[in-house]
Amino acid sequence: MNNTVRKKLIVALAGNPNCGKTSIFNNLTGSRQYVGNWPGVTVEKKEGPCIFGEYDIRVVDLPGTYSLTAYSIDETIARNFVIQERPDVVINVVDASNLERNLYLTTQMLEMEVPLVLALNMIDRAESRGFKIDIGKLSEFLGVPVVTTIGHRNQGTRELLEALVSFSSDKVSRINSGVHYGEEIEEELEKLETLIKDGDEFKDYPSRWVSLKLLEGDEEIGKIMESVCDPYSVAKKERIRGQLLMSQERITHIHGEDAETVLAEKRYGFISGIMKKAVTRPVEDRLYVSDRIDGILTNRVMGLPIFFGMIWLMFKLTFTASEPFMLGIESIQTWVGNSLGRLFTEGSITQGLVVDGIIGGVGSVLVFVPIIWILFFCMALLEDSGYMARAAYIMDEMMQKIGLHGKSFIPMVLGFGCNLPGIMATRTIETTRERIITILIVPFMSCGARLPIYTLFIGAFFGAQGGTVLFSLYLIGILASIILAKLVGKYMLPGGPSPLLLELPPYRIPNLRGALIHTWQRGKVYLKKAGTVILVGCSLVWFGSNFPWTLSYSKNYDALMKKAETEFLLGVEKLKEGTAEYSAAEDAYERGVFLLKSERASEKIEKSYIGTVGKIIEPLVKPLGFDWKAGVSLMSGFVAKEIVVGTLGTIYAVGEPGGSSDSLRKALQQDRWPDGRKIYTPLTAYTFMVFCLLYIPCVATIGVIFQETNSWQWTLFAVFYNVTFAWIVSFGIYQVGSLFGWG
Amino acid sequence: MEAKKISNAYSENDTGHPLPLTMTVPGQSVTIVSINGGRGMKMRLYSMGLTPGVRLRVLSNGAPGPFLLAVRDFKVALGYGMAQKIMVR
Ligand SMILES: Nc1nc2c(ncn2[C@@H]2O[C@H](COP(=O)(O)OP(=O)(O)OP(=O)(O)O)[C@@H](O)[C@H]2O)c(=O)[nH]1
Ligand SMILES: [Mg+2]
Repeated sequence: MNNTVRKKLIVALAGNPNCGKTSIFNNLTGSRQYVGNWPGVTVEKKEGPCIFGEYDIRVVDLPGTYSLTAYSIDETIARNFVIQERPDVVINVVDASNLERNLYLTTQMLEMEVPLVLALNMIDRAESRGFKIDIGKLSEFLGVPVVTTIGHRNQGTRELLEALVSFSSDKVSRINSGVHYGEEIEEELEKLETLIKDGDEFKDYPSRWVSLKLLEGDEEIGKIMESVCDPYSVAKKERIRGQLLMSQERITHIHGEDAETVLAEKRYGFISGIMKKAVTRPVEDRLYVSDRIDGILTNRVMGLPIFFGMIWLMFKLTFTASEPFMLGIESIQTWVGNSLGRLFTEGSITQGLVVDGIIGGVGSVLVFVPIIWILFFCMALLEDSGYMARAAYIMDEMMQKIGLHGKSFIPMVLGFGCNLPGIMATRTIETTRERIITILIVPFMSCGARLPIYTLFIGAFFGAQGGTVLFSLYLIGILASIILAKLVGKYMLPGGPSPLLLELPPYRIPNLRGALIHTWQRGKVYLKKAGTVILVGCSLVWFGSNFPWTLSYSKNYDALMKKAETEFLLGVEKLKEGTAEYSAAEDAYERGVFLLKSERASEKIEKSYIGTVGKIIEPLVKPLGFDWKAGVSLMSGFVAKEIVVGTLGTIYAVGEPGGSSDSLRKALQQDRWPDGRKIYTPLTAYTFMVFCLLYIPCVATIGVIFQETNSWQWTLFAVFYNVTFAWIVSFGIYQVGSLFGWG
Repeated sequence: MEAKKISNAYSENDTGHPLPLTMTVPGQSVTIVSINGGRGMKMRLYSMGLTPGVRLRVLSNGAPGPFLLAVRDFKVALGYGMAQKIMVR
């Protein structure tokens, strides 16, 4: 069909944080990477294909960065890609409503001689704020093509692609003007450049850029210099260093400021020159409305109560809105279980596996999926409103007290949704010390997957005080994280907090479509998990609790039932059906059979493989008030927290005579110790929830902890500390509670 | 309204001695004179648009907590430790 050779192009999206890079990436590639209204949403390099005309374009979305000097991991990723991988074209996305600061990075990339196309994004916001931008002039002064875009509405995407393609096929048109630093500095630059150009050690880098970076005292270029000059030119290194010192001294002497300050001022001077000629500013105060909102939301007195109020509202909404869905799914689960059960032979392996294992186990997890989804939806709205960065600001003072700064609070809030993105978000934290501490405390943030457990137990044992109970759990998680941060900060990673520096994005009305996409993207993971890990897990639990299939029971239940039947038949021989006496006898008989069946079922499960294992670990969890079934489900929860519910569902479905018509909630309420005491009192239920909150990060989280700390020590520490801590806290709660007779 | 008044009162002070940012009050508009920090901190602030000579408006003085500033066309939260090192007039 098409016999022209397809051209390949690697294009990167670079720009300040939160300027809309990922929105444009999604427009170009049709992907659905996460977009949010706070700086630092993207922390990884993401790639996607884009086919346009005769071009196969590989588009790379990068984390945001303010300059080509990196201070944190996400910035390093962006910087390294631009500097080392040298994409064919870089789309420099700039926020048109915040142009001056955004162009600073542009000047740096021009100096780096990066082939640039400028995407003037958020042009809608710039216009509504009263900025008028002359695109032609902007393009002329910067010497790069400029295209206006509106990222979240997919506008300007085609024009951007056209500009990209014509730019890359027409290399001559690159006229990078860049910043002119004034005679004195230009002179010094020239001297440095001459030294650098002599020889080919720096041939991979533009010599002007190298000179500028040297003048600025950039550490990275220092390292590059060490590495490229190493083997043969100590003398040359010395020459460059000597010249550098002289140049820096001269600049400081003339300008009265150090070189890096002068260079920054000159760059901003260059930018304001362009702004004066190409941009008309509004006369009135642009930030006024958002100032007023900030006056309230970030108020010293009201800020914190408002924050907690919002979080409370979010959870309230989550629970209220998810309730009808949960009830609906629960009745579907029961109905499907009952009708499917009839299709199989009573008591067969397939019937058991399908009804008890899959529907009882996986079903009880699915019941709670709506709650996770709605939580994600609320989180997405919160993340898109612009409030996240405010939360970091409000919490800064408190975070300083535990040796962290406000930015660490963003991963913590994200952790309420799911710990994984929370831990990933720590990449924006500049110091390793604070980053590791934040990674360690995020698992104490009660994630969405733990909600099924709480909902189940709160629904079964707390009723009206449910809200308070839930709130206390979140609080315990936060307290636990404070304790851990303090401990690690004191004994393992001593040092003080670094100061906060965080841009606050403008507020915006959350984008519904975006929030729905986000909810689906994150929520489908839970469906997938239900269909895979949880399915396998529950089936395993089912097998474990049913095998060995044939057991030698302590009593001959079949014979006993037979005997009861003959006695009943003999007893009612002379009675007429329908009389009161007849039905009394019938009731007694049925009760007797039911008791026998229950006894057999519980003996069966106790003698099963899982029962045997459970009995072994029971001594470990008994001091916390849990029986072996709880112990086994906690073990399975290591895979994913919601499996705890699935495992309980399976075990109780198997342990119940006559199929799983009763809900798991009722089964838990009625379960008893051999001595007849109820297993779950509100106290045990509460202890169980606290244990689930604290005890172990799920496998996926452990994996990410390892990936992000790159250390087995920290990963193992996270696991062992959490388990031990959870045990001690739960022990305390249960024992003290029992002492006061709350059991 | 209140903020406007204060800001006018203080902008008279333009010729005075440089003070640390921590001494400012909300609503005040000041100019950065210098940043007394290490090279790393300075370069970070510069890349975020906080350079000597730039006008900024203090939206909130959170001492001993963070500050909220409006500078160029955006807002930034700045920890107390950094605010101490920024000299303004
Ligand atoms: N008004 C307006 N908002 C936009 C536009 N483009 C993107 N946004 C919004 O700006 C916010 C940031 O968008 P992202 O695409 O996540 O920005 P990013 O540059 O990838 O951000 P980081 O990954 O944090 O660096 C989101 O709330 C978007 O919906 C635009 O053209 N106009
Ligand atoms: Mg992004």
